[in-house]
Amino acid sequence: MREISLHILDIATNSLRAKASRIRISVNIDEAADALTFEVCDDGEGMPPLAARLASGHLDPRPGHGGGSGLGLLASACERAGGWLDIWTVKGEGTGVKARFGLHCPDRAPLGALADTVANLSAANPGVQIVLNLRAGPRSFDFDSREAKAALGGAPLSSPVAFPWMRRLLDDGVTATFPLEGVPGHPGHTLATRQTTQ
Amino acid sequence: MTTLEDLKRVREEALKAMSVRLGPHAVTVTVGMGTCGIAAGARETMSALLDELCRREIWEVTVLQTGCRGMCAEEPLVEVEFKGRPPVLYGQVTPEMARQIVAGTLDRKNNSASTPEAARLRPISLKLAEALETDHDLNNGQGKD
Repeated sequence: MREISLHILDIATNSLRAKASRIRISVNIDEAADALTFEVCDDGEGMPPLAARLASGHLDPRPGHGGGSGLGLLASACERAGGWLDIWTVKGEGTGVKARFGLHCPDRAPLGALADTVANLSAANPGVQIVLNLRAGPRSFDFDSREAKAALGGAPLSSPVAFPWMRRLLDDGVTATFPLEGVPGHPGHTLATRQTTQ
Repeated sequence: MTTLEDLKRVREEALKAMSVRLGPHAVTVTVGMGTCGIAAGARETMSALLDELCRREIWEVTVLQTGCRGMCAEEPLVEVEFKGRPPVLYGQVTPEMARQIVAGTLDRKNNSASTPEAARLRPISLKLAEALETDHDLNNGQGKD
């Protein structure tokens, strides 16, 4: 995947397949710990334990063997960038995926268009609550698709007036929280941040 | 855009969509968003679809996402289903193609289905149907010998 936000979309799609009704996505940038961490938690069916174990190491795309290659790709992306992947799952209660990347690692993919990811998820899954929490030191931003929908009187978030409104809200929030990362199409870590680490 | 007054205006207009999407002209567009689809650019395709639908103010279309369909080489896949009609599947849909699909097949007010851009878009479901027919003919030929 070219962007971390595409990995987030991929993991959230796993949650949708597990019939989740609420997906919480949190992204945290910790300059002091040199870490970019994201977490995707859902209240879906949970994964079979074997699948959870295999997911981080091997690819086993056969049906009933833990699905496709999404988690495997994410695990290798984390390791490549000096981080790790953690998965916890309880049958019938939900699954959580936590991925950590070295913030200044040159092998880390940029965060990418996170606002696009969350806007598309919220618009294309009207029955699912999407919660976004962003933290970066003193800055933070929170979004809840159920609250957004309630503010619109229960109208679909994909309608021609609601979608641009939600896109703008998310774009502003992501850009304000992650000034270096949140710009769509921006190459993630700037030259300045790279130079300080080398 | 995010002040309270704007929100009220957005809210009043947004409620229109609820009735239109249950009507006889309702259309469902589904984008394949498995790992394969996402890696092939499905998010950008969906963004283009939503953006073009908003730009042309098309209310009756619901955009949904689905997982892998088992045709990973043809991702991003976009399925268009008009209420009461068989679905049409488009393969390898770039953001530009997504905009053409909206312009050529989904925009009823301003229909440009006869434009060259729309004519060049061949749904993959048509190709599949043809392939199955060819297969069928081959089998018939073998059967006679």
